[in-house]
Amino acid sequence: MCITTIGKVIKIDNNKAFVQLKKSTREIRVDLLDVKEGDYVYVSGNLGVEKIEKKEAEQILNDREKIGNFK
Amino acid sequence: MTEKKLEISNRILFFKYALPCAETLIKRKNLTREEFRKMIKQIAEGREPEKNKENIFKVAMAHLTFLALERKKDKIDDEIIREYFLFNHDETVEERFEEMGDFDSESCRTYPGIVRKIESNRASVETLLGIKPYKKDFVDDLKMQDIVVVHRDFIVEKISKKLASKLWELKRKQIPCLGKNIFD
Repeated sequence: MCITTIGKVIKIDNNKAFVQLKKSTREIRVDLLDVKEGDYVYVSGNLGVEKIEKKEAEQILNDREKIGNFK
Repeated sequence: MTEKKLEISNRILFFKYALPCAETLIKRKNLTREEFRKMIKQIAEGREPEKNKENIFKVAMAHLTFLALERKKDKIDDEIIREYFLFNHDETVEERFEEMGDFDSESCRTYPGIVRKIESNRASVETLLGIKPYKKDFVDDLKMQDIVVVHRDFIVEKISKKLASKLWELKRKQIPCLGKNIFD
């Protein structure tokens, strides 16, 4: 699986985190990552794959929004 | 970076399943077309790509590491690779599609199939998508009626009839109108 979404961590509970996605909130596992509330992560299914810098995440989300508007 | 990452015990099997998805990585410039072709050739010849090349498949590596850890394993073995790509991959694809809907989710999935026609560098395989040609670089001694798994444009490997039938039934849960199990 090569494609991810970006989520903002809104709550952490041990190895689980609730992330805000574009359209929904999802509970994901963050066993592989060292994250805190407010961090942005790449999400694949129910797994946090990689942490991403806030600035980069916002840029990508903004770009995706623009692309979406052209569809 | 992903903090935890386990080693893969059979890197060639991993690349057979993962490389068909590399088109996305090429589009993102994480991988060049030349590097992709080189890796295809290496795998076809039974040679391992350079160390750590698997790390460009960040998502697959994260899922495989997570699954191996869940199974209390210290390496990503063949069982973990097949469990992820054959049984867990579809669900992940579907969730992403529901969220973003901006890619062809059908072609991202793996499918069991039967070889119906063999040509020089391709073979036509019957899957639930119909009969389509696939590249056969990764599979030696392919014969008519062989049972295989396909991923995007590639035949990944030969699999047992029992496994193919199980995968078909799994697809039936996702696609209730799916016809007769071609492996029975």
